[in-house]
Amino acid sequence: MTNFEERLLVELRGRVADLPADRGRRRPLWRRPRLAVAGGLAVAAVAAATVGVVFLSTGTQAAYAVTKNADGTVTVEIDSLTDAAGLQANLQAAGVNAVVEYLPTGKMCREPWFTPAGRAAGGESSGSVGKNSDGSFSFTISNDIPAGDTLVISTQSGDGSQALGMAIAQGTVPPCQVVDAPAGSGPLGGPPVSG
Amino acid sequence: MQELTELRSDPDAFERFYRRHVEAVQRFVARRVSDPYVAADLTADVFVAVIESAGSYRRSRGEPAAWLFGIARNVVAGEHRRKAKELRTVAQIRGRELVDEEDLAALQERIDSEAGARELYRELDGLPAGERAVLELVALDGLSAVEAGHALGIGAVAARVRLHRARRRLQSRLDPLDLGANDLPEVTT
Repeated sequence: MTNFEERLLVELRGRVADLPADRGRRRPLWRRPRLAVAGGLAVAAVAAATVGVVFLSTGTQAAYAVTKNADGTVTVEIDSLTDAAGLQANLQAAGVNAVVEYLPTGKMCREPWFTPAGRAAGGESSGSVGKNSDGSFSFTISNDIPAGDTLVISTQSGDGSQALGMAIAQGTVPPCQVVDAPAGSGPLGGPPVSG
Repeated sequence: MQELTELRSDPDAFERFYRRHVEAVQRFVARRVSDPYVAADLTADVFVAVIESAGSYRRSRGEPAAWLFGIARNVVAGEHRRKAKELRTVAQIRGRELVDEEDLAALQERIDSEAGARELYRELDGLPAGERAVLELVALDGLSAVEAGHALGIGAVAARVRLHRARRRLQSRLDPLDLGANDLPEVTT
């Protein structure tokens, strides 16, 4: 096998070994890695220049934290896909015009939902996304989203698991009309689990 | 192998499956994308989806290889949908980060050798999704109509009907269809 194939095998073997459901490890549900997260290789480097503005969700278990950094970027850490409205409000308070939509597995917003701006959110240079050692994940929102555009954070639903996607929409984003996701449209493309 | 659930729990079982199929998956991807880094990402995505979907395999629905191609097709189609929406989805394993220069050459070579298939892949744009799926697997990937049906979770009759319709639609649009049409299996329904 090529180097790539060998390295990929190591990563994938690690994933199989880490699957908690099959190992009987007792972990809080919200930390089970049902979210697609980046960084099989390393914990993401979250912006170093963090200042002390942290918005924490309320409740017994924080679902997220929003941190405004000195350089104008905003770091988000998400522990569970709950309280989308609270995260959205905290992002707004941190100066990010954002829409956050968490949908149940198997649901999606009716397409076309919004008009994509001409660039992807969190480009390689401006954002990093990664899984933290505690199972949460975090990303940094760049400070160059054009005024009037909207950052969209939404679940991408599918085969019994969910991924989180980011995009930048031109202008405002209309309300999400929840519809069934088509069969076979897993976040990573897997077919729907039929048993 | 009756079920593939062990792919989720047994790293050694997964490794055997991976070694058996990794080349076929990479060829499958190379018939659809021309960027070696995207190909590396998608190869990783396919096997992550395999782990996540291992519980969905049923022996009654054909060989594991057909099931795997169904997953791979969804992964690549998902990538094209994401690209169209300019949506960045967070990948679980970033395949491109595992690629070195030597790998790059091998990836590129594989991609170059599949240029004809990618041309056909582009020509399928505009076909209804269900018909396209069957024709893709038959004309690009060499599956039989029955195997394509297994890959897509539909019956053999439905697969043949879709294949027939896709061929007819394409032939009315492209004259002559320059790749694959004459080799497609006859419709026997």
